[in-house]
Amino acid sequence: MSNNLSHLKLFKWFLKEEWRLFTSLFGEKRFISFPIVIFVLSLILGAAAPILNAGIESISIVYFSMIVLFGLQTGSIGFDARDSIKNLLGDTSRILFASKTLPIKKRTLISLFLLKDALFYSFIFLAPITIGAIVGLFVSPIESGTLVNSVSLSMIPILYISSIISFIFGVSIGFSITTIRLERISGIIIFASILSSIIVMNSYNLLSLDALASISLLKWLIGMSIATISFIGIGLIQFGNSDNISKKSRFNNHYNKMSKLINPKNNYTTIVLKNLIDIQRSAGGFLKVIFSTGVIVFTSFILIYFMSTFFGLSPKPEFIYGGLFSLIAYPIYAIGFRYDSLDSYSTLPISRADVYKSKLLLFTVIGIPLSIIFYTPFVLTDTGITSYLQGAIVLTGLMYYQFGLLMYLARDNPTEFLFNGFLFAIYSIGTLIFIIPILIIGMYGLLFATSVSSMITIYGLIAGVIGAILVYTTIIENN
Amino acid sequence: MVDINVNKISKTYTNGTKALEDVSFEIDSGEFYGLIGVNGAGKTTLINALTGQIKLDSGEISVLGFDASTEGEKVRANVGILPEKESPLSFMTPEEYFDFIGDVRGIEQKELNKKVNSWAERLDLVDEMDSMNRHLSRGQQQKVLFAGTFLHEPEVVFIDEPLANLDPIIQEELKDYLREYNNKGNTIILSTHHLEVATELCEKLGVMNNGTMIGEHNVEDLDSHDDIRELLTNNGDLDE
Repeated sequence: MSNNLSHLKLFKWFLKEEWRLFTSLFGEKRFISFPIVIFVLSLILGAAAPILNAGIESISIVYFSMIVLFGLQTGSIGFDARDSIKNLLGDTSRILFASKTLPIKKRTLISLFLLKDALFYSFIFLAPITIGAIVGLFVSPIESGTLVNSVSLSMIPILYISSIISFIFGVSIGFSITTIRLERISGIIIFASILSSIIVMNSYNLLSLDALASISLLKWLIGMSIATISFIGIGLIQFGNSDNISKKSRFNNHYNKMSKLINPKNNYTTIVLKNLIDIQRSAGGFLKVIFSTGVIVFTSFILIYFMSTFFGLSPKPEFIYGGLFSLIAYPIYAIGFRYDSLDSYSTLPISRADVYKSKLLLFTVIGIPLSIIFYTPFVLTDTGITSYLQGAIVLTGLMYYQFGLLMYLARDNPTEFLFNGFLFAIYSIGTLIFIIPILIIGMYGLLFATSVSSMITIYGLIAGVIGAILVYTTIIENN
Repeated sequence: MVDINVNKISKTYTNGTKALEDVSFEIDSGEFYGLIGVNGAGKTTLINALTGQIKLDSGEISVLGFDASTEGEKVRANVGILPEKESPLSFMTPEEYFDFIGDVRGIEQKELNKKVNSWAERLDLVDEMDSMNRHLSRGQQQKVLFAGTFLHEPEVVFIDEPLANLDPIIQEELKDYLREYNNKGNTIILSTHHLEVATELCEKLGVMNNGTMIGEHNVEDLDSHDDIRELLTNNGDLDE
């Protein structure tokens, strides 16, 4: 780095840039409303937590697991989004890319970028989550001596700091994963080490809830901090190595091959072919679709695992997995609009309605089969074919419902939506209204009559029809 | 015969910027018409309006008999548009991009291949046809966009700063192509802030300033209009 430019100054520029980027994209008021929505949602979840009738250690494990997964998603999205930022703003218009034109080391920029992310998200997300959850527990009307008695408002600072450490730990994993290139020896070694560590820990039962809950918070924090440093170190080494990898500069004409095979008769199919190329050739390829949806699947699995541990229920898995796995609709929708927008084809005879139709088709081609692939192994072994199909209908219906809702609310701008407090609140409420009843039936399913399963299947179908109406409305409005 | 008829159109953006105000003019079939003005004069907004890419606040536009406000897709199906400051679809190769345009515009594959090969040779893109568009230089991307605009040989073409980022040899090559294309009876609307380029290529110029059309001039009469030269060299402040 140049002697004239201190790290602190550069860091301040990063923060300024982040603030201006978001406030100019979403407007200051709408952006500031986002943490308020997060606070309210956390307050509700905190107030509902005593229903689990579990100890503070177990609840903490679930809470921190969610924060780590959120960090993991953020860490990978931050770098995955490079392609779209590059498309939108150009290669050198962000400070992160300043090493191309200014005498600043790339690794310095990356380190400060990660630090900026940690600080920025600590204020925007973690503060409202922490305060909301603790206050929610404190004011909860649900009687549960075990949990409420062990919570006080003075815990907020400890919980906040722990949340930040957990979040950065997740970001560091996400960052190191995105820098690993599996065609390189170092990448294979790192990937194999992570995988084998998980398998070994699991075989010694170290990943069970009881084992995890028995470790003290201090040990957790020290362990995560050491792991964070290691992951960031691995990531920085890998990131530096990427300079030495030459870009594959020649590509086969995949578009022509697909076009000959499918023979597209309309513009929206043509756009889907183009989008498949975008996904394949952008950072991470099709693996990023599996990764971004896999995080949600993994989170859902952890939630279901803990819920069954707490409640000891014999749930109807088809509705629980169908309901929760439908949440992968958001990343699929976001990926669909990552590489183009309505304006991308404005100089061609392609209507805006065609662009929306193409995203519906892409969602159907990628999202629906992927959701069924995730759903099948979790459900098919534990249920009969009728139950499996009922859950699959619910899953598909909810997927289309969320897609319709997202398209109607966020149009072609998934990123803006994510940070628009008002729209995000509508989406969250709109989704929960449909998912929560299905989850309740899933958890208490055996207590109800068989006809309830048929009713909930119809409920899922109705969700799908509403989604289709929302998509249709969006398309008609843009014709 | 009139290809384009613009009648009292106005457009104000949501942030309050008056981009176009009461603009009217006509372009005859086969004309090489130049829209000239400094940056921010309203040229690009006017082209976007002419090709149905934006909605107008008032006024009417007819392009090849289609109402650009309500039949934008039909207008764009029948014209070619070379936008300013855009890149060809970034993860595709030029070859794939041309195939994509061919599918959208309904060009038969054999005919398309012939045209693409001819453009690749003309613009020195043969070695870059299987590189990703985003890896091409800005000039090479401009060449890809230029070729994509003319693939379906439209009778009306809108070109916005077409020679930006190109080296002088290619610039001359493309100027020759544009003259030749216009001589075949096609209409070309060129938007630029380079007076030299406009006077070299166009027959008629529409001069824009602050969203209004302040005058139309035949190029051969231009020497007597020092006010235009002054306008283009004085950041848009026209001395009355």
